[in-house]
Amino acid sequence: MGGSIKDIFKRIRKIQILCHMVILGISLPGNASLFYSYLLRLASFDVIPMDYAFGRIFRWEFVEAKNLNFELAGYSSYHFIPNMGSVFLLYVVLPLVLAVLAGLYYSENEDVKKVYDKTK
Amino acid sequence: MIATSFALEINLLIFNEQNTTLTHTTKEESLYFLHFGYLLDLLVAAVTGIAMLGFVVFVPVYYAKEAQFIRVELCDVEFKEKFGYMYEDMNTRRMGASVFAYPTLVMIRSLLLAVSIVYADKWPYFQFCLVNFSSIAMIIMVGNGDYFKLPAEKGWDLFAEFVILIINYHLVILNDVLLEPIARQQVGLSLIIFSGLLIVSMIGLMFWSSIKIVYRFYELRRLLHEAEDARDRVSRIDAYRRKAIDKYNKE
Repeated sequence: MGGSIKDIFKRIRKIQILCHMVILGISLPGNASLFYSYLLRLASFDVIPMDYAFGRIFRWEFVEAKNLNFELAGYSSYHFIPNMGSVFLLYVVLPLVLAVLAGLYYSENEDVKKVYDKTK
Repeated sequence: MIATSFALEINLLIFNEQNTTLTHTTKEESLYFLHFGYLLDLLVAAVTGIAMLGFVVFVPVYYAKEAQFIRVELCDVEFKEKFGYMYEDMNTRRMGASVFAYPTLVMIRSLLLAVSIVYADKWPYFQFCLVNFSSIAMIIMVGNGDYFKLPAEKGWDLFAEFVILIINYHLVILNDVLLEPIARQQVGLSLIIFSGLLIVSMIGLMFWSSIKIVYRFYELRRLLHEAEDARDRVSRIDAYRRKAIDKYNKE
């Protein structure tokens, strides 16, 4: 099953490479620009718009994008967290999930062990 | 995406290249929010950078040094259960530890692309050459070896690389060879068609993988039920036989 999930990530990586090729230092014709602006939303995995949340939590200095292609691709800043968008949530959620799994794994409690075996 | 974001952060830190137009934070706010934000930003970027570079350096060095040792260990069930995720869909039986060359090259290629996008935006031909040669390197590597368990995977990977090469040639033409607007629109249309081809095939394969996950899950459940039924039947037959033997002994 893990192999199949890996398959999905492999495909997404190919689409991401394709999307990043249009950020190379060229000016695209209008039709291609429009197409890629939609495509990049799909490939960037930005499922939850985080701009508002980031704006409330952090006060960044207002920095313009490197150039128009970067703006189009969603890299509207030079900072890492705003550019990552909702992928940044993984940095918060993943350690929590790992901590819960480690707690289940090392627990001596029988009920907890049963829960862990079921999740396996 | 992660690599590009990281490269942009480094660009900001080392070269301090940014187009700051206005600052909307007051001095009091900046003492907490601004500094906390920057600190967290740096921390996350540093962790990601270490993980990415660690992957690029650690995997080839470790597996190249310990190739003979790992070749034995790769088939080991316990080792596979713990670290098998790295090579679950790879053909380790045929290629041994050299299958790890594939994920390493993929990672190096992504890093190079990100670096060229951020730092070489003034030299488009250098970028085109980099994309071109990295795609050709991938084609040579995948074409010469059997890195995947499923033979169809090799075909799909080669197909994706060829389409990336075709798109790269479109971009070369769009750079400064072609300046007439109508011709540019036509090349743009061709670019969209080839990109669409790659995207449709990749998304189709993604759906196929998802269907495979669900199918495998239900297949596993069905097999488990069948095994339970078979076990019940065997125990019932055993009980019947024991009863028959007892009856025979009594008679």
